[in-house]
Amino acid sequence: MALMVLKTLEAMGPLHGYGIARRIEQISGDRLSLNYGSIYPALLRLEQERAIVSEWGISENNRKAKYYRLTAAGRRQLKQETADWQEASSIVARFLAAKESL
Amino acid sequence: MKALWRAWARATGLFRKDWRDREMAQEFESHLQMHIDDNIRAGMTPEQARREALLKFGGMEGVKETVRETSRLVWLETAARDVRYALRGLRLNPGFAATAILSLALGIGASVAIYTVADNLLLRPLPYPEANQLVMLYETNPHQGFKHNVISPANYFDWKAQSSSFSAIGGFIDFHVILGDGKRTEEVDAQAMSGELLPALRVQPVRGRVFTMQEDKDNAHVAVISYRLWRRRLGGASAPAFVADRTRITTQPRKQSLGDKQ
Repeated sequence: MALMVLKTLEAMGPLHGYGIARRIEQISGDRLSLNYGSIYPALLRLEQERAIVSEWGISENNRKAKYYRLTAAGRRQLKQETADWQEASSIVARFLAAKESL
Repeated sequence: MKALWRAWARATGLFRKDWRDREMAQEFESHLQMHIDDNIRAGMTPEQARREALLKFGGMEGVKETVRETSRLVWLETAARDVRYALRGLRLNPGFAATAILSLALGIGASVAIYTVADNLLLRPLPYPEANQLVMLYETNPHQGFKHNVISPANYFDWKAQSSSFSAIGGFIDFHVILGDGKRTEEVDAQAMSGELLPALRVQPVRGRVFTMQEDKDNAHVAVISYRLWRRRLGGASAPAFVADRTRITTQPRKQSLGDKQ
């Protein structure tokens, strides 16, 4: 979840919780169905880790909304976690491939 | 101004929980409004739109609790990290650590000592029945500025004879005596007291008797020793005669008496 949030903010720029949840669902091609509410604990944790900062602003439809923005530390974390994830998934992929060929 | 207020609230940590809860409620409300707007644009009725948005959000209270839980957890992790960091710092800098620990130890020790004394002297009642009825009487000596002067014996007898405010009046004065039993010699605190005092305080002796009124007049050489001295010095001996036989009390230490005891 954290990785998806960071990636979304990198791609979209500052965004509110609703927008982030929506975007994650869309990018997954609606294959990932999440409760939008579950985005907020993840946002809080990232904020406490100083990976993102928040600020109240006005949405495109003139609604007051809290916007989250990636920090420099957040960009570093995104890079690191992306690398970690790719490493992990490639290991699992190779593991599964090896099993099939036995 | 708002930012200033927020910074102040953040700095003090006061109202912080309330503030965060309010902020969270506002954020979730704005989230739902945006979702409802989108749903209405997609052709739902306002009611449908609201229901769908709430459903999609997942249990609102559950989410709030998870967020609170997360923030507490993060706080704990931060605190644990700070403690680890502090411990490492202390280990790397033993001189500073020793100074800090010593200061704390002295500070705590001094506080404990002072409050123990204050507790005993000021807060706990005296260990006598109806301690709230006990008073100390003094003479004043304005010429020399003494507020708590000793009482002249003649005045003491007058007060005793003429006062009707007290059920009993007794006198005492502090001094020191030298106590020796032929082996050990030591100086102990003592009080000379009139026969009325111990009965007035309703003190009962563990063994033997307290002073009689006649002994006041006879200038008798009798002593009552404290329970503590009895236990410490005389081993709590059961025979009262032991005290009389073996203990010498003198109010005037002399070199030769020290020599006697060796």
